[in-house]
Amino acid sequence: MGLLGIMSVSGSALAVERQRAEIAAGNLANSESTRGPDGKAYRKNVAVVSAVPAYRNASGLVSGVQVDTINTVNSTVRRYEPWHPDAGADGYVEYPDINPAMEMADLMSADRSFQLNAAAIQSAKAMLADSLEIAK
Amino acid sequence: MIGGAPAIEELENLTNGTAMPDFIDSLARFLEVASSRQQFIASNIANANTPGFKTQDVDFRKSLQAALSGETNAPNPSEVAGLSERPDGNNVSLEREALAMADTEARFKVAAQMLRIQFRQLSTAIQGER
Repeated sequence: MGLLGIMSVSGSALAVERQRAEIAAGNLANSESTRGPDGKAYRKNVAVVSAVPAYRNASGLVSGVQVDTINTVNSTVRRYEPWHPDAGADGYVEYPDINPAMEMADLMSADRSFQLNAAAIQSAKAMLADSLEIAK
Repeated sequence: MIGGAPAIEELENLTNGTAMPDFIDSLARFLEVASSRQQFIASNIANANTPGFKTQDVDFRKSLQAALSGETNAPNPSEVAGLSERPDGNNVSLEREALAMADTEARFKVAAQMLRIQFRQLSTAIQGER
């Protein structure tokens, strides 16, 4: 695989980081959603990421990365808003348990990791171009 | 090991009194070690957010020596000691990896350039100046 392997490894990371960003954005957008398609409050999603063998080079296994599962955090916060159409009989409304600051931090982390992985691909590209130059 | 000595130093050691074909061979091994190290760095960066993932790296100088002495052509990756570990068991330091990536790329570039010059000289020797 050599230098092309770098592209597949870093490429898998680009996909994972994009998905993490999507999930964080979805959580942010729905931090006040009291009603989803199932009629219940939105639940926070979390991507579970794991290392996965991408290929084996002469030195050993090189790991890529993948999203294992997307976990749903099954907790809500209750606010007393009896005027709200989604309020229960006791006047409490279930809101998703989402902390926007944490989601922002997740979003930024995914963003930075995406950038660095893109830089790794650039670097592999430059090295490939350099090795082509040898033959000129 | 992050940077260590500049790329040039190891290349200078390669040139010491070697005939051109040997030097070309050495440069090829140098490129192989650099490319192999870059693969592990890319994997570290890809797994910067993977719980429990440990930084893997190859020691550039040792691997090069092993490759040149003909022991083995494949650098041995090992877990890097002395990095601070996050609560989730991951110890990838993005600064370290970014630096290592730039370092390895520079080494590769220099060696590729030198290889190119060697081939050009060889071709001049064959064809004469035209």
